Amino acid sequence: MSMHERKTIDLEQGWEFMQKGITKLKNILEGLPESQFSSEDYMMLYTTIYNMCTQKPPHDYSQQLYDKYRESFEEYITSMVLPSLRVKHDEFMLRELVKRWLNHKVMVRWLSRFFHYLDRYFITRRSLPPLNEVGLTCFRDLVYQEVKDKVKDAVISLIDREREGEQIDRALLKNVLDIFVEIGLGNMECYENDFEAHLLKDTAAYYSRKASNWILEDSCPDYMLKKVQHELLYVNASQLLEKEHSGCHGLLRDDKVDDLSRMYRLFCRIQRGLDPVSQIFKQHVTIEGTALVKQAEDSASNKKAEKRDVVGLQEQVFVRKVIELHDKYLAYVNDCFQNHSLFHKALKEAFEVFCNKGVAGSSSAELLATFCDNILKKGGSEKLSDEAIEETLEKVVKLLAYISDKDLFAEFYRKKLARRLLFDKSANDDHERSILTKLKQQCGGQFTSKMEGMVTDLTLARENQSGFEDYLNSNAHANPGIDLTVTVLTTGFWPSYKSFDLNLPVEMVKCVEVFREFYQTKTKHRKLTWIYSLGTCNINAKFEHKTIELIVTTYQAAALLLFNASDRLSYSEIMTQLNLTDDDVIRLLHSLSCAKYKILNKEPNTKTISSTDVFEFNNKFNDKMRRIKIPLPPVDEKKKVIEDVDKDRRYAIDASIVRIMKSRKVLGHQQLVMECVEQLGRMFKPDFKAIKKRIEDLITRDYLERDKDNPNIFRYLA
Amino acid sequence: MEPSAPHQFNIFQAFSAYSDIMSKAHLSGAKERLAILSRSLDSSGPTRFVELFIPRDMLINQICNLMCCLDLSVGSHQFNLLYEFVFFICRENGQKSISVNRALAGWRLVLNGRFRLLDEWCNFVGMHQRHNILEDTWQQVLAFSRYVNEDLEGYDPTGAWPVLIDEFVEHIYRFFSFSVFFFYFLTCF
Repeated sequence: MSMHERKTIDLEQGWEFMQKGITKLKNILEGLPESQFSSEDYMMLYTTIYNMCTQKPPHDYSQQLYDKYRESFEEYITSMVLPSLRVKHDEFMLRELVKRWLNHKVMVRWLSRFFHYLDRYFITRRSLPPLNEVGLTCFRDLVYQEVKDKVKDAVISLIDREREGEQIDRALLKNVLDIFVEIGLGNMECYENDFEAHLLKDTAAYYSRKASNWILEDSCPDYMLKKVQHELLYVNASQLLEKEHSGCHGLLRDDKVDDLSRMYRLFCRIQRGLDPVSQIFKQHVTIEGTALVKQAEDSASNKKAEKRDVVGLQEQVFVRKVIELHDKYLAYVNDCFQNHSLFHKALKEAFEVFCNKGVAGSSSAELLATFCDNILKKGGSEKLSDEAIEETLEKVVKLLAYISDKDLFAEFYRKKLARRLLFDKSANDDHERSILTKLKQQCGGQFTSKMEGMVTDLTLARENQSGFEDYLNSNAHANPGIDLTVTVLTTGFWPSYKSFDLNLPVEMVKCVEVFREFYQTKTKHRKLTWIYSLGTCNINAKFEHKTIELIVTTYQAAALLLFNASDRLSYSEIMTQLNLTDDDVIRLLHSLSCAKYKILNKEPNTKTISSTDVFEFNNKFNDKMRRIKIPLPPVDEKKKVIEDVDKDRRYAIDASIVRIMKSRKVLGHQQLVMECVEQLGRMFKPDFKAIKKRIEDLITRDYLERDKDNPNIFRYLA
Repeated sequence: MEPSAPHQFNIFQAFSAYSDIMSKAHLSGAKERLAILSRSLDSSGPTRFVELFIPRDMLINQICNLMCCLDLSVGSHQFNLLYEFVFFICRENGQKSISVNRALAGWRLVLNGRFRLLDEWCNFVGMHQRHNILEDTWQQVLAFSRYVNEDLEGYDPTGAWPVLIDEFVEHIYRFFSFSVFFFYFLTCF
């Protein structure tokens, strides 16, 4: 239908139609039988308003409709809402109010849709309050103003009842308080003035009333300790702690140091009140630490694809981060939690959880040992001042306390220490000794005795060497014509190495003999075992262009010297002449012919060594340096270390079981296992299966037997 | 006991000598007497004998014969004795363990009808055990066979069972949960 054809609707007629719709809405709200609004109903109502507002004056009824809109609410409130509220009291009144408020909001939503055209045009132009606001204001002016005092009283009495330990309907309470908030239409004044102020006043009154009662009942200290804590804290403790944003978790997460201190001071007064706090603390630290492990795992797996050599750096970063984490939370324990033992324990337990996880196939024991190595060796990945090194070492040793496989750490540490000492890679003797002192303090003398022996060995070896040089100077005939440095070590202190495998070149055999003669003049009844795999040689290689000094291992040198006698040598010839295993031969030939410096030419010229290859001295080799070092990558010793440690553990478990049974004579299985775990726990955490296996072995070896009547009891057989 | 002539191994005599010694096991010297018996058996040769001819069957048949003549009702003293005797007679040169194959044959014979999980046990040991069976394990298997039903009720994981038995139980649990899953899978389709 178009504009001019449209029949003018007069106010009375139009409003009558609207009235029907409004009545229908009211009926729905009151729960009377009534069909739902269809979209056609809604369209008709909207269209009626639209039409009545778009007629030419004087038939534009916008202002009238705007007024009638308000009146509809007022009418409904006075006829239905207020009467129903007036007859109800206390909690029932609150429930009614909540229901009415919900209904009212629905009514505002629907009516403002019917009258929506007013909002779009008339109201905007005249800057009148929008429909929604008008609707809500009606409720505030007519309902809220009338009942707010009653409501406030009812709510406070509810709260009081809860304070006395009664169960109350908290959902209701929350809904009512929401009304106080929502009715402000975006500002909190109503809530603050009409409710909060009263509540605070009442709370104060409540507690002072309580207090006077308590004072009558109890002595003063009792009052302070028992009652206040009980009423204020104990009852609400778990709720307070577990609040999502402001609870203990939240405080830890947001590093609210002051609040945590306050929390500690409050909860330490309640009996067992600190237990949950320390539990949450433990959880929090565990989660943070586990996240670090995860992070390190991720970056390690990303890195692997690229280059394996650099992987060490990731672990380095990981240990650094764990140290930082420890620093942070140790400070919390010391400051916020006033050094309380419960929190020390929580911190310890948390670190034990994630410190024993290991990263990307490396145990944490290995990681820590590698970390120490990087700090202590020359040109390690970190450049630190002496003080910083000392401090870091101190912290690493502290972390070690959380590692259960201390024996594994010791073995890795010893391997790395050996490399530092023997290859002159140790940056500073004082630091080496200082960390050993720290380890000794923490893990006992047995833990470090071998390592200390190693460091001392090296000092003695230096003295020995100068003695050897004097000997050579005074016995000119003995001089082998080659400078020789020998490091004499005590077998038991050092990791085990292969000995006597290499067929030494004659020049070197002479050296060995000279030294042996010298050594015999000094000591009797000592057997020298030569470990060539740890030796280094400086040899001059005469190439076509110039002579270059090569720094190589004894193995490499022996291989190169073979080419003084022959021009070409096959793989198998080299292997027989050197008397080494395939692994060693491949490793050293690779370093000489496939790596950065190609001292040997290989046929065929490929990147890997095979047993059919033939080698030739590369006379054309040249380099701008006068002296070059040809590295021989060390064999991966990880597997061997772990095997060695496993073997040592078997002995340790045996010894422990025998020790226990010797003193107890008869003991139940579980108790034996427990005592064994306890005895060995300082060094490692034996698993039950390993202990059981050792028990079975000891039964076979007639150290133990099962009790005839109870197979769960063992007897010691002397 | 008549000294048995060499090369004429008589399992009845061996058993009676064994039970004689074991009945006085509390007396000192029992161990030595067992060792002597063991040596004399070695020289008279059940094991040597067995090595030369069809290994297992011979000895197992002998044990079988022996079993027919004994009162082996459940829980009888004779049965316990026989069980331990089987281990004793299966040893070679006084070793403290017996080979897996021999142990399996022994179990299948002696524990037949007395151990509800006998098949599972023997299959498991045959598949997973590479080392010899120790005397303690042998003895504990008897206790285990009496202690548990098919559902392994009564098994205490913190008890002092030998590791092999613990591993067997783990294996059965895994298999069990798998078959439950499989059954569920079948009923779903």
